[in-house]
Amino acid sequence: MSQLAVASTPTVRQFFRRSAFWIGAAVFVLAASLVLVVVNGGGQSVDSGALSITNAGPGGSKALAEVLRQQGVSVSAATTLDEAVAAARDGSSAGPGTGTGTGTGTGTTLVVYDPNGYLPTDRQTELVGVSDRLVLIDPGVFELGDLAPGVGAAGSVDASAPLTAGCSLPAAQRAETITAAGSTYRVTGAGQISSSGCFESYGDAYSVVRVTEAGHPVTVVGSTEVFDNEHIVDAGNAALALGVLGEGSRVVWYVASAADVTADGAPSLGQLTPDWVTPLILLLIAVFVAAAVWRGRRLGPVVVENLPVIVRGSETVDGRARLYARSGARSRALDALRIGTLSRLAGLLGLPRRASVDDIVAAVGEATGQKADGIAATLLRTVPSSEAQLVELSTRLTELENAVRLALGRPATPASPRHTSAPTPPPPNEGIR
Amino acid sequence: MAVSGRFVLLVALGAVPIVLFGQLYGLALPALGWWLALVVVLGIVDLIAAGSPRALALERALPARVRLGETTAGELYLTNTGRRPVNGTVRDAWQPSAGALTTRFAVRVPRGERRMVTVVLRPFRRGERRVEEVGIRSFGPLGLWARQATLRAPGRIRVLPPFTSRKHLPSRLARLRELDGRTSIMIRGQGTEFDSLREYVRGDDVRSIDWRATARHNDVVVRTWRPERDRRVVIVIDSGRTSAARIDNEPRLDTAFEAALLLSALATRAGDRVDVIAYDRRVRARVKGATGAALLSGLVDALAPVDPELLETDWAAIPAQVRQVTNQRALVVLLTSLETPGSSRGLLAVLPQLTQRHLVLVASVTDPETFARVSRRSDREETYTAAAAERALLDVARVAAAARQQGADVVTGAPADLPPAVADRYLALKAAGRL
Repeated sequence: MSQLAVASTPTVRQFFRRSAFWIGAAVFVLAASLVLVVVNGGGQSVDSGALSITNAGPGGSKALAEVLRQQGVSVSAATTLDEAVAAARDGSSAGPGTGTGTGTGTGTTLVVYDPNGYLPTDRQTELVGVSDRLVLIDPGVFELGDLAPGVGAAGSVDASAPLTAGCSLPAAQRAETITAAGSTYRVTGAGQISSSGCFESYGDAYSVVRVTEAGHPVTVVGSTEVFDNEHIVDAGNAALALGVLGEGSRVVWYVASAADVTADGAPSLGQLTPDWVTPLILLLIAVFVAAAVWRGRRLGPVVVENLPVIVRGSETVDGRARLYARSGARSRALDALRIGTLSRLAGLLGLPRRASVDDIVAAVGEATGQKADGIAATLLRTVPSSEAQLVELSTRLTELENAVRLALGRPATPASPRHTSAPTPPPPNEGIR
Repeated sequence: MAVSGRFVLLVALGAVPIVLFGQLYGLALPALGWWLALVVVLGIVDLIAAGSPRALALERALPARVRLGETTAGELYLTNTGRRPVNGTVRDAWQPSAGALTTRFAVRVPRGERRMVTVVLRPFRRGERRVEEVGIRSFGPLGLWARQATLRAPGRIRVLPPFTSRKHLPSRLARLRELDGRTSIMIRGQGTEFDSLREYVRGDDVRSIDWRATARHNDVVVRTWRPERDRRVVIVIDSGRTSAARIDNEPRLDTAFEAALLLSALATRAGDRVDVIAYDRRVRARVKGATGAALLSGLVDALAPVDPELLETDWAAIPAQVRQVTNQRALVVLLTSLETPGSSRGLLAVLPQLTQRHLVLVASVTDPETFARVSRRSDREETYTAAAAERALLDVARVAAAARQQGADVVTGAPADLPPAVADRYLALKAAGRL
C-alpha cells in the first residue's frame, strides 16, 4: 500500500492562512477609504460653472449669493427650466397676471442666465409671469424677444472706464458707477409705462434696462461682471447686484444647463432595442469569463527543464566570413584561398612538404601544359583590386585545381576528406608566403 | 478549482430564459440574476460532491534506463483512499524532452480501488529525465466544477547515449581476430608477444621456425605470435566549452561518447584494460577497472548525465589524472577538438608530458560543412565564406601538425566517421605492436 502523496497545491484553509496578511491589508484599505469617503461627505465635485452660486472661483457668483443670504434673502439654484419654474412658483406671492407691484422685501426674483443658448426658444415663454421679478443676465436676441419684447440688443461695449448711472432706478443710483464690459440694450417697445435705461455707454445703448412686462418688472443686465466673484468688488457692481436681486425675499438662480436641451427626431437605438438585450450582453460576458477559466486553468504548474545551449560549429567560420566581407579584406581572403589551393596541389602532385611555390608552379605547368606566367599570376602575383576580381581569381584557382586533377586522372571535384589520419596532407607551407 | 466546458454551455443556455422572460413579462434582468445564481449553486453542489484528489495515493513503476531513441513505458498507479470516487483527468508532468506521447489521461477510480495509467516515453535528450508532480482534476457527478490538486510523485529515468556506432563493431572485431593470429598465422609480425609453438605447415614463414624446439621434437616447429594483451587504454573526454559545439546536429561531446564507447568495446575484447575519464575542470565521469559487458554498461551509465560545461578545460591537470589511473605506458586517447592555435594552446602545452610516458592519440571532430564551403565560390559572399573555411582548415592542419610534432597521433573526422576512424587507428597501432 502506497503512502498518500504530498500535495503541493494548498488547501482552502492553507490558502487563507498563507494570504491572511494580504486579505487583511485589502480589507483595511477598503474600510479606510470607505471611512474617508463618509467623512468627506461623498466627494463633492468642484463646481466651475459660470455665474454658478456654488462656484467660489473668479467666474462664479458664490460671493453674491452668500451676501444675499446674510441679508436674509433665500437663494436657491436651478439648473433646468422645469426646476426653475417650479422653484419660482413655489415661493411666488403673485400668480400669473395678478402682479400688482413690487413690494419691497417680498416676492420671488428669478435670475436667468443662459450663456450657451441651451434654453429652447419655444419654451422660453414658460418663464413669463412665474415670478414677481425677472432678472435677465446677458440675454440673447431670442431670449429678449420672448421675455422682454420691449428691449432690443444694441451691440457690445468694452468700456475701460466705469459708466455712471444717469437714471432714476434706485439700485442704479446707489451704485453710481459700474464696470460694464458686455452687452448693451436699448428700449424699443412703444408704450412702455415705466421703462428706464441706465449706464449709457453711447447713444441710447444701456447696460442695464428695466421694463415692465405683463405687470412684472424685468431687469436686463448686459454685464456679467456685475455678478461674478472677480469683479463684484469693482466700482459699484456690488451695490447694483444687491439692489437688483435684493428686492424680494427669495431668489431663484437659474443657470441653463445641457439638461435643458430637448432631443427631437426619430427614437434612438437605445429606445428601440428590447429590454432583454442588455441582460443578454451581461450573460455573454459571464459566458466569456467562464470560458476563459475553462480554457485558461492549467492542470498543475508548468514543468521547467534546463535546455542545452545550441552552438553551431560553423558559427566561427560564418563570423570570420562576415568580418572579411565587411572590412573588404580581399587580399587576406585570397591568401587563405591560395594557401589552401597550393597545399592541395602540392599533395596532388606528390611534392614534398617543404616545396617552394616556384616548384609547385613549375609542376602545375608541367602537368597541365599551361604557361607558368599565368599560373604564377593566379597562384601568387595578381593583387585583387576589386571584389569582382577576387571572385574571378577564386574561380580561376578552382579551375586550376580541377585542371590538375583532370591531368592526373583524378575526379574533378575534390572529394571532401572524410577523415584524415597519418600520413597527413601537408600543412600550410611557410615558404609560400 | 476548475470548470468544464459543460459549465460554460450551461451558462450560455441562460439566453433562453432571459429572452423568454424579457419578451413575455419584461423580467430580463431578474432572469439573468436567477440563472447565474442557479448555475453557481449547481457548481458548488457539484464541487462538494466531487471526490478529493488529495485522497489519491500514487506509486510509480519506471524502467531505470532507456537508450536514446528507444521507446519505453512508465506506469503510474492511483489508489483511491477517499470516501468518494475520483472521476476526472490526470496529468503526469514529465519534462518535455522525456518525450511523453500523451500526458493527460481520463481516469475513473472508484472508492478503495486502484487504477494504472501508462505513459509512453520516447526521450529525445540524453541524461536524467525527471517527473516531479502529478496534476489531478476531479469532477463532481454533474461534471460542472472540479477539485484540482497537484501531488508530488517524483520519478526519474536515465537516458543513455545511443551508441549508434556499435554497427561498426563486428567488422572491427573480425579484424581483431585476424590480428590475433588465429586466421593469418602465415604473416609474421602480427604482434610481438610469443604465443605458442606448433608444427610447421607448408607456407609458414621460415624465419619463425624455432630451431631449439625443432631439435627437441622430431618435427619442424614454428613459433606463433600474437598481439600484446593487458595493455592500458586511457580515454580522456574533454567536456569543456568546445565540446558544446554542434556539428551535423550532434554536439561534439556526443560524438566523443560514441568514439569512447566503440573503442572501449573493441579494446576490452582485445584484452586491454580501459579507463575512461570525462574532464573539464573537474572529473565529470570516471569508469575504472571494469571489463567486458560491465565496462560498457558502466560506461553508458556514467556518461549519460554528462553535459558540456561552459568552462575552459584545464589541460594542465590531465597528466596527473592519467597518472592516477596508471603508471605504466598506456595508450592515452584525448577526445577533444583541434580548432585554432589559440584554443588548443593548453592541449599543446601538456602533450610533451604525456607523450614522454605514453602513446597519445588526439581525436577531433571536423565539420564536413567546412569542407563543402571551401568549394562553393559562385558569388562574393560565398567566396568570402570559402576563404574563411579555408582559413579554418589551415588552422586545424597547423594545430594537428603541431600535435604531431609533439609526438602525438592525430585522427580527425566528421561526426559519423570519427568513432570508426579512432577504432581503426587503435587496430593499426595494435597491429604495429606499438601499444
